Amino acid sequence: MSQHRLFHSLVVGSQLLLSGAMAGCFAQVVEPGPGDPNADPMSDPDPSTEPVVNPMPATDGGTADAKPDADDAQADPRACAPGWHPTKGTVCKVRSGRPASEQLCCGGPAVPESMCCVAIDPYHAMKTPPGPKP
Amino acid sequence: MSLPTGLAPDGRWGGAVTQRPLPEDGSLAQLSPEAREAMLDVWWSQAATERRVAHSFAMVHAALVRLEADAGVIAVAARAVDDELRHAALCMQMANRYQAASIPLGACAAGALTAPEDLPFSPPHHPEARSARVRDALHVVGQCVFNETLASAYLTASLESAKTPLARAALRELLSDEIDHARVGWAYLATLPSDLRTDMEDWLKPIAISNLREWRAIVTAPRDPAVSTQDLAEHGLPSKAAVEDALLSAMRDLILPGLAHAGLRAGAVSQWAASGAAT
Repeated sequence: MSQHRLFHSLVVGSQLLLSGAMAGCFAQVVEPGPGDPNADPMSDPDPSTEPVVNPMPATDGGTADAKPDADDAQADPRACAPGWHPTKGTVCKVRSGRPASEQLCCGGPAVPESMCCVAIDPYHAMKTPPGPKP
Repeated sequence: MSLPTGLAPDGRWGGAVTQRPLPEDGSLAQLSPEAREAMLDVWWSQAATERRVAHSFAMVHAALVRLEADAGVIAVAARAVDDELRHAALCMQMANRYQAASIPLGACAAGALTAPEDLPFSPPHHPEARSARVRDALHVVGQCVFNETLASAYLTASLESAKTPLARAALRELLSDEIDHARVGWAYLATLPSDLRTDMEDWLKPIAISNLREWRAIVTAPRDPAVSTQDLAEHGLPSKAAVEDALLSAMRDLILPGLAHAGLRAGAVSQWAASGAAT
């Protein structure tokens, strides 16, 4: 497993938020230098800062508690519930004269409305094709 | 849940939308009308979705207060509400730039765009959570550890593909904040009370699946074939393949090691991710 370029910024750098660490130390993304296009894009205003709390070491390698017959994605009903609203890459369809609760947020301009997020039960709106109800 | 009507004067940039004014960019006028329209749609829509996430952070902040989380973490979560409102304003600035670039071609009427209406807000409810306290912790972990980390990965992919100065400036502003928002979750996990540890471990896989599925809607949605994928990428909208790669890589190489770093047992997530991360 290779380490992601954001690992240090997000995971290790999260310690900077804790009280007594570096109050007011914000993440700032800067243009990368010419040498390393894959460098972590984030820099903190004070690059000398290091985590002040030693992170708890991992207790497993990511597989120790895995069941040999792990369920697939659909087996756990909790996985079928909607997640948090993403913020990027979707295209809203404005339905003039309709209330906010009837506005749609879709994955693209050509997405049929039945596939878009709507106010009521967005998961079923995405997954259930339109048609006569039983 | 009502949001503030304006930007906070004590917000990250003292009430300003961005750290620096967005640059002028002549490349917008070189885009095809279809590509400009597509980028206008993306930024205009993102103004609505960013504003909706301000509601998410109002929930997360309240949850962190109830959980008696570290004061520094609570403070950044409180600021995140204002951050998301700034993002909405930034996205409107971007949409107006793409609209303005169309005016010489007569493709759009002159005048500033109207901000989109509030989108419906429907956060995860987690009815199966064992207690209100577990539900609060799930809201913090779902929104910050998963959603904001995936957002950071998406923006990093966007920044990698973007070539134009305007897009790069806007994406840097957004990514700077999203990193802090993800840190809220990672810092909370690093200080997770022991009584919540087993519950969180049990929930990691379902919330990984549900949050990745939301982001994958971008990948599965059709795009207008008349618009050059390369043009969109250079203006900060990465290809679907780049988005899928970024999301999967974030799950496997960022979130999973992060969970291990926090001392959480995430073997079920690891196995799911290794087998293709079906959603």
